Amino acid sequence: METTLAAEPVSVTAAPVGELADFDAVVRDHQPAIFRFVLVSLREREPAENLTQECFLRAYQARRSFRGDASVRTWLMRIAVNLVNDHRKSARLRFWRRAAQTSLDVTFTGDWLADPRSSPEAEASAREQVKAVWRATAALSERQRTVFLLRFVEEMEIREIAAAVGLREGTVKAHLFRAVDAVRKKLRETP
Amino acid sequence: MSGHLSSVEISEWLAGIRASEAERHLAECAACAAELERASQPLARFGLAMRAWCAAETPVPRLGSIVSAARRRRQLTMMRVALAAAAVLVAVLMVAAPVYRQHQRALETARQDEALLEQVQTEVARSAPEPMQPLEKLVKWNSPSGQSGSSQ
Repeated sequence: METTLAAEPVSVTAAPVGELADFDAVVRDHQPAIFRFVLVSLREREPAENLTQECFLRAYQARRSFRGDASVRTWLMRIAVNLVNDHRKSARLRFWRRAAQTSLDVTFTGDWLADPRSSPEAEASAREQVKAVWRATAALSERQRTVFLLRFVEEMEIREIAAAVGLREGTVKAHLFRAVDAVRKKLRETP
Repeated sequence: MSGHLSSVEISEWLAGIRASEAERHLAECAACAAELERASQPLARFGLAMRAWCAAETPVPRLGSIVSAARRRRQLTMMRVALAAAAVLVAVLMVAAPVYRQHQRALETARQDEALLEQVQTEVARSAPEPMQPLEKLVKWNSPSGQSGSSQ
């Protein structure tokens, strides 16, 4: 069976190294995505804010070593992925205890689906689906969750994800497949 | 392809593993295309919900603080390096000072030993003890061979 690369919604363009010269603009442009990835990964606001700040601090300190091989977003996301991994390793027990308590309540995430065009039933169904995916991602392995969030929340291409997590594209696809399949199974179990 | 896409094949497609055979089937089979659409909806909604929710949660960028924090961190690093260097210097001095003092003491002892030895050699070289020196002159003077008798 012949396998081809998926057509992806966003294209990767190597950012010019000079783009980092205006670091304020880099922070303004990329902070929302970095904070979002960290927050959805950790599910704790305070560490997410601190790690986002740390991410840009490290990027600022290493800005001269940025050669433009990948986009600035991918470069920043790689720093963020490493910071999240380090944070999890250093506080693994605390993280899972809090994740189990869902310190960011799943009902809260569902409130952001309000669409005036939807019927109340459709809206309720959509909210339940989001909650189910939210719960399902908590049960994924760290690597599966990372690639899942980068793909479906950050809408990154497979090759961008591969660069951000330091894996081959095939390996990323394998992790993503397991994550998607596990999430879909959980969704089927949801009434 | 013999039948419709399986659940695994749909998960593969959503994960970016896209076989050309599945692609051809999706183009022809409305049921599978609809099933794929149904399967992708919760994932798309999840992404949408997360982006909307996080957009409201995102803190205001602290641009100045990043630069100042980087400077503070650099200063802190330099201070740590300076402190480490100072600590190494103190440690070296603490080890070196007693060694140096010991070395100086050894030199002084050697000098004193040298002086004592010289003094002893001078004493030994004398043909007669100091109180008998005047007599030695007399003996030398009267000696038939002209040599000092006491040293013989």
